[in-house]
Amino acid sequence: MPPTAGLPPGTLVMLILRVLRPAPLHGYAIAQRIRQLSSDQLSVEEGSLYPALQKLLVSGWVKAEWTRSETGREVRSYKLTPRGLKQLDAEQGEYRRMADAITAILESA
Amino acid sequence: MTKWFRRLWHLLNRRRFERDLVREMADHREQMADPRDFGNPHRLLEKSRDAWGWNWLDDALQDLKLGVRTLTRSPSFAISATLILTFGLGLNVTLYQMANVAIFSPPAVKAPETLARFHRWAPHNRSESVPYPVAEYVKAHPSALTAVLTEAGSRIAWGTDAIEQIEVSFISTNWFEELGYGPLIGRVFSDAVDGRSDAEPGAVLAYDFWQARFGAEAAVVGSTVYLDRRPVTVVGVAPRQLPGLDFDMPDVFVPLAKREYFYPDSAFLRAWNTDTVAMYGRFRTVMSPAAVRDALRITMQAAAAERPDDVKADEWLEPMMAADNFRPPDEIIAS
Repeated sequence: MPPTAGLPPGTLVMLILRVLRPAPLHGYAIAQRIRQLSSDQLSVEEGSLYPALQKLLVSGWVKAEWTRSETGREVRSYKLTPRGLKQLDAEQGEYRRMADAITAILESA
Repeated sequence: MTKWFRRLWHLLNRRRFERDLVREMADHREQMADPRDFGNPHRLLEKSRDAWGWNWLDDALQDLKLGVRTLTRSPSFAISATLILTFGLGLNVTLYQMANVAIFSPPAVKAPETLARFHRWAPHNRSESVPYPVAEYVKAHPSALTAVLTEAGSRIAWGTDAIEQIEVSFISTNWFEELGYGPLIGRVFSDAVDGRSDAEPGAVLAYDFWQARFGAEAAVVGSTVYLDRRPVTVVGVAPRQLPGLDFDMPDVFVPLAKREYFYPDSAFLRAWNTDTVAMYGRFRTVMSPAAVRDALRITMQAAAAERPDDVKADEWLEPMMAADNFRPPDEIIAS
């Protein structure tokens, strides 16, 4: 699978927050989820999730703790915090605004 | 704020967190069909460290370790560098302290904001000193000044054998009182005692001179010393903190009015046409230099009217304020 050549900078953080909204997930599951939800259009260089997750931890947008997965493995799960939820809403709003503006230009006469 | 606490917590537990992250990344790669798609684990670990913002600390510590190792390997270099730095820093501190005293801090005298030195200025001539009779004239005539101080320094022979020369400062009898300093031991000059025409000439020793020559003995008060082979009674010792207004601190103070006791043939005290003494004045309230200058201009013009050969109508006394360390306005550095 090719690495994240086409992903705009900063959107990885937004995607991780979005993917974590329904439920906490561990790193591998986050990568799977992004691929799944984008119908394989977006495939992140999976390792690059980890520096992004550290950024989320520093900013207090997610919390991490060691739990057991369904398969019985010990995994580190990341959970969205209320502050993270607020940040997600803000970033989503900003992204939509940008996308609409670009669309407007592209579709203009 | 809480972000800082998180970062600090991470710093304090860094080893454990990194072990966990390495384990986490290894687990993730294990589950992948093609682990190469994960990316370079070392690079990713480094980037993860970056996110916590402590890399600068690691770099600094590493540089410090390297520096210490280098210095311990070549001790002669380390010692030379230390000596150069010590000397350089010490010299800078000393120079700054000197500048601080000379330029930035006003002299340590009573009410420096109402004290000024007076230079004698005319359109084509400037002098830092004034003739003694001019200072006495200003003192004798009412003006904005409540006190006039005068000082003249020179070298004088010391001791019965008069071989050695020391620094003497001839001062007006109100010198100590106006500057706000009393004696360390004995007494200092006063107008009431030493200003009388029949008063015996006394000497006040400067602190350092007293320490060096008399071993800080209190018994020196009342003893006789010889200046220019003439006997003088020591009446007291000045305190250590007494400032020399013109940098120099003399060895001995003697009343200026008694100068002829030491130099009987000298016309110093009567010379209207020689600039002989440093003149200082204290004014009643805080005044601007311009106000002081104008107030004294009247007095100087009266002097010029009385003695047209000695005092010109176009000359005046230019005040140098104590608060500016007696410097003329164009030499004042804004601070």
